[in-house]
Amino acid sequence: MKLHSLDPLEPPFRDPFAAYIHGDPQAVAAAAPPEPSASAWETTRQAIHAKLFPRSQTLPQPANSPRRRPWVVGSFTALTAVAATVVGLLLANDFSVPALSQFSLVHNTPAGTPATPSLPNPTTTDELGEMAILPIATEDEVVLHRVPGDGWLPIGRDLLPALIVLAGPDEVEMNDTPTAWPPVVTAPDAAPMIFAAKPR
Amino acid sequence: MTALIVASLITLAGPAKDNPVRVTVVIVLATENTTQVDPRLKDLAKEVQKRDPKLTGFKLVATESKSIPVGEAAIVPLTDQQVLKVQVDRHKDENGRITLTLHPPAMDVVSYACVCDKFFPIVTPYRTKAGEQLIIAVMAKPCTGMK
Repeated sequence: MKLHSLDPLEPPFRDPFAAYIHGDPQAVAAAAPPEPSASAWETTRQAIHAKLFPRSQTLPQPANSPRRRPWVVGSFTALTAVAATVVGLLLANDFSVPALSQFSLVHNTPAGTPATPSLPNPTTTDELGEMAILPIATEDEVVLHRVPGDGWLPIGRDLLPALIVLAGPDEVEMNDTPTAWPPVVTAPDAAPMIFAAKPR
Repeated sequence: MTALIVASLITLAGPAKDNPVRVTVVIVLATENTTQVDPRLKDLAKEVQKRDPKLTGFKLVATESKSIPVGEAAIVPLTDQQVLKVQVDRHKDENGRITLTLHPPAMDVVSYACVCDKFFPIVTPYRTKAGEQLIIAVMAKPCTGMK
């Protein structure tokens, strides 16, 4: 057992464990395990890679390899920045999925039925939790306002018939024809139409 | 009893005057580069080709339907940020026609009366960047309205 010296010139004895507990930087640094060498890191990395990609694939270059050119890093950074900007804009404008956003749906409330106010419920996280079967609106309960031409119609009546029927010559009457328009002669068998296309 | 019937008739006839008109707008792009025609646009393509045989491809972009009260107008988005302003001037008249005023892109205002449930096409001068010609076809209903 070492006895403490009473010599005032000798530096006082410090218990390293107590210094570590009290957060002494020197004691903490002294207690830290030594960093593995670069060769040890490389050995570990190759072992992991051998497990993940057995035999068939080549080893990727380490991050500090001279083969990693600056323009690759720059391109990756630029692409990441562009993607982050696009995502930010989409979130800021509250865009939804484009294919679904082309549909404008209105749920019909039957006449005489009082409208049920929808109040936010901050404690409910799963709004579908109490539904055993997801209730789907019937065809009569949905009115489509806009339908894309090549879209799939999951429910509701299509706004268009199977074939667009044009009005006949006796079924249209022009009220105010602009004087700038050229005189139009309509053939008896032709459907009335305003053809304002510019000459090619 | 008679008074009750008369009152009922008045009640039924009153709201009919205020019933909005359902206007359906079909947005079509025609092109010279393809020969594909949407089956629903077969008659429209045939009539347009009488005026311009070079337009051989007809694509249905979208269909939009709006309920517009008589005397009021609505905006229908078309394509390429172009819009169509539709105003309902008059409900179904004695000839069974509904009067509309349209303001298509790159065109003067068009006012016309057309029978209900049938489409009236307008080939606009607007072209997309790809050279497609914008065509709109407008239909109004119901057919059971004021006479």
